[in-house]
Amino acid sequence: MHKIIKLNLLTLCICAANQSYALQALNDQILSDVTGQDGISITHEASKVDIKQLNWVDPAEVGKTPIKLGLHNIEVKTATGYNNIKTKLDFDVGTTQLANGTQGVGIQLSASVSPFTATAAQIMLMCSPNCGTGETDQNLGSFKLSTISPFEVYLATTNGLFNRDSKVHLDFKLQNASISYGQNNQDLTLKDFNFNLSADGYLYIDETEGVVLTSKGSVGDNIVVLGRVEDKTDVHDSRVGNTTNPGLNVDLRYGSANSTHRNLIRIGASGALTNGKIALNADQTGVAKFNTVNRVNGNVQENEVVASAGYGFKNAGGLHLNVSADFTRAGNSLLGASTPTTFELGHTGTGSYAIEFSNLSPLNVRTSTDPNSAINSQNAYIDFGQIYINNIRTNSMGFVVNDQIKTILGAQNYELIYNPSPTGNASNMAFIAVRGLDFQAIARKARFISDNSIAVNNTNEGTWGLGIPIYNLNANAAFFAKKYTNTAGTVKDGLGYDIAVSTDGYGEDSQGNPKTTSIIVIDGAMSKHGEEVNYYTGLRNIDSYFKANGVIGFNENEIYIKADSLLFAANAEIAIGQLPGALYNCPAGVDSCAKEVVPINNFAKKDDVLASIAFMLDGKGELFIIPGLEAVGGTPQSNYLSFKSNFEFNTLSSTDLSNESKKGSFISLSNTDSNGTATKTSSFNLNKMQGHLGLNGKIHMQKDSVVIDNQVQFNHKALAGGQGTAFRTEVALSPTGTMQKVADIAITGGAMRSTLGITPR
Amino acid sequence: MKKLCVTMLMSVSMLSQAGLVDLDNKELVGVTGQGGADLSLTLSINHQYANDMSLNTISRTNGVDANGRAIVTEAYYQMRANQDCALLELCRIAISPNNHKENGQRKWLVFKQFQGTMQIDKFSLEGTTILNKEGKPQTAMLLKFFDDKPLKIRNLGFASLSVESGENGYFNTSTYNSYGTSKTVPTFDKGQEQGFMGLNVHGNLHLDGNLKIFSYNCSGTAGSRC
Repeated sequence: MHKIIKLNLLTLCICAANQSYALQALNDQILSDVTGQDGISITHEASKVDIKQLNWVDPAEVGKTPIKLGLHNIEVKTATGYNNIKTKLDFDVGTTQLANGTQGVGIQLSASVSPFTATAAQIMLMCSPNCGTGETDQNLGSFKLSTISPFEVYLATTNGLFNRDSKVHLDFKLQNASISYGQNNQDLTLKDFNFNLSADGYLYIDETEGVVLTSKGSVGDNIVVLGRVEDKTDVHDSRVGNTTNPGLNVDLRYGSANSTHRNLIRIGASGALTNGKIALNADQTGVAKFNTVNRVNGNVQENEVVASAGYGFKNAGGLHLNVSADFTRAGNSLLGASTPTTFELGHTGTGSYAIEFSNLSPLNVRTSTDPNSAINSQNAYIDFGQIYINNIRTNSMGFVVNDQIKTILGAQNYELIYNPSPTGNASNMAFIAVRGLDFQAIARKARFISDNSIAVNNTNEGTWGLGIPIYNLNANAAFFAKKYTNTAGTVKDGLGYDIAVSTDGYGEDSQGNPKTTSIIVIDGAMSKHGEEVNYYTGLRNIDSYFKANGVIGFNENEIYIKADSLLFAANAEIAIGQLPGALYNCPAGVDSCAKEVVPINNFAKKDDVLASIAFMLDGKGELFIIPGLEAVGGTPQSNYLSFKSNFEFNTLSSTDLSNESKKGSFISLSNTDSNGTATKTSSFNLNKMQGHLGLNGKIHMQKDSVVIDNQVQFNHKALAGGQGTAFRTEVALSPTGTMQKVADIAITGGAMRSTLGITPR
Repeated sequence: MKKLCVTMLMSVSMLSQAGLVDLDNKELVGVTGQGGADLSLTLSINHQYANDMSLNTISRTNGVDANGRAIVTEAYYQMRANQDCALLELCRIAISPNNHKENGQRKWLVFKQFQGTMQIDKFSLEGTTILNKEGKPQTAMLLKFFDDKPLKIRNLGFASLSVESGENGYFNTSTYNSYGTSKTVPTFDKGQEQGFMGLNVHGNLHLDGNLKIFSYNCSGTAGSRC
């Protein structure tokens, strides 16, 4: 504390220090070495911190009162084994050598917080003190953050604090943290949460973009390294050296505060990123704009449509975020000693396995149809698009879908207007909107990895990969407090939700590079031409629309998600072929052949398509997500993710039932034929699905395989007694575009189980 | 100068080390062999295996008999009485073709006690290239079946097939109890669901060969499909 008093003296010291460093080039590394030599150092120690309310007030549109979202009754305590929460802030200023040869004045800021536990008893969505008739403050749950290693932030600038032309270096080390969201004394926890990055880039304020942190500036691009972090909790004895978790580690566990948490799923990312950007401002004008992509005779047509209903708040404040980054792969010139980007996805907890994805690349292998042209060096990327966060009060919102979805739904307009409120009246909600999320990445390589709690998995690395690219995802999500009744008949607090999500199947960027929403597996073995063959198969060009409204409740040992209304519609192509820009492989038995490139717009063509599948499911349902058991000696047979669910189709009126052209909830397989001039679609349909189904499933992630075990219970309500209602559907053909009913089918009940094991090579 | 030399030496050694790391054994193993996936599939309807999700196999075996066939000690490919279909009318599939109605009564062809288990321990899926009828290379899905991994068909079929009437005729529960005026049905059929035939398939179907599936353009015009 004496140091603060001697501030004047320190300022003098800083000046003196500047002189001594004047001739020395002060790069980021040196800046990080000089910590604590000069400048200001503030140390603060506290045994406990209490904060009554921490609120974010979202400015309201004209004529409405603002709604607050806040953390209430926050208590920050020391972590076990520590006497105090020690906060340290070091601040230093020094001369730096800039890239253009001149000198600048850099700032070095270093902050650390010793391990702590912070709990907020309530996450409140508040209307008070201006609550209108029927409005109350809503409790959305509780929040907890705890760390077992110090949380550190280090920022070094080369010229001023906000300067778009001069580099900054940022280290952000949130390691081995635990973040929980709770309800009814049950917690959904991110265990061993890491957000551990080290980046060079630019930090500036722009009049339109707001506060911007980017790796790419006028001088060039830099890398952002998601460095792996030592696992300090549960490491197997046989593992030697530093056992780590990914730099961005999302490991979901579930359970009550004093129980052993059960295992849900783990997602991770590590390695170097480029072209990273985070921008934060308050501009909400884009929230009503939907960019949709239609396909007319194979041609891509992008349209921007402004939704008419429910976006009055766009003229007031709120949060607007842009987050994007490119993934690197081997050969990227910026990489240096850093490792390329890898993803991990799989089960978690003792005895679990996951899949590590690497060699991330965009869909097209080449950008030119010249067979001798170089392999595409563009990066795979994620762009979260425009993210808007608001507190809103409404009972009517518009959501714009594309042509393909409009046809499946049989909708009159592109803008679907719905009520996100739990009642007919307008109510207060926390609202998150996403416009134009793009995730264009194909993992050409994948391998099974084991959890740190068991020995290293020595299963051979295969030549397979997986691609789940997502193109132009738009989403509206509203959250509010809502009660629900659990299976024991007790009324409990839950989190009400209303979600609308859509994806577009296919589009192209301005250079003609394809973008798609697909679920495809890749065969990356060597072709006869000596490069990866890149066979793919799966569902491609998925146009989809998902809409659900209901409540999420935390029950003992399971997460309960109820959808009072659920609509899921999609259209996709079942295809097998080679990725765009790959070289056509030689036929079996032929060792060499002429090189020919698969068209870059191959995904817009029908050459690889076996059939198209479309469906619309309209009804209501319940889903119980059951996490895997955590126990010493756990195996994929004891520790696995499972779910139980049921779905009831909306009942059709007798008029609709007797109308052959009415499809109701349906599944269709179709083919599109062209004789050069006209295009005809013929289909095989299961229309007017009625009744109810129970669906139970288990996913076993194993050492070298995935086993998907599913059970369908037809007429599941009859299990409680009585004959119930048979599952019924109409078989119809549409050879000329007109629906022709062939037969009715009824399945009176019973169970059907399928067990599929997949062992990639 | 010395420092420069040391730095250079260090970078050279790092480069050579990096070169060795690039090709470790695991990756060498990785590039040999054909890509693709081995699949196993079990499909079961209305049997014990279908109802009891805790079962991981369709049967338990203990050793082999004189003919080299596995001795099954517990079979889960069966419909246990009063358990897997407590109400027998709930294990049916019914088809009503062509809106067929008589006297306003919809006619249903009802497969009663529909059941079966099928299992194939291994078949493989991979990509391959064929020459299509234009003489151009085209990718095909290649499914390979192996002689020693047969399709095991267990108790596949239905107990009786009958024609039932009514909008919900598939729920009709008539059974054989008496005939004529007051004659009791012999024990063999007594209490059985009414119908004119039943079917039960039980055995192994050995498949050996390749199945290639690809999209086909019959007219040859761009964008055309059959």
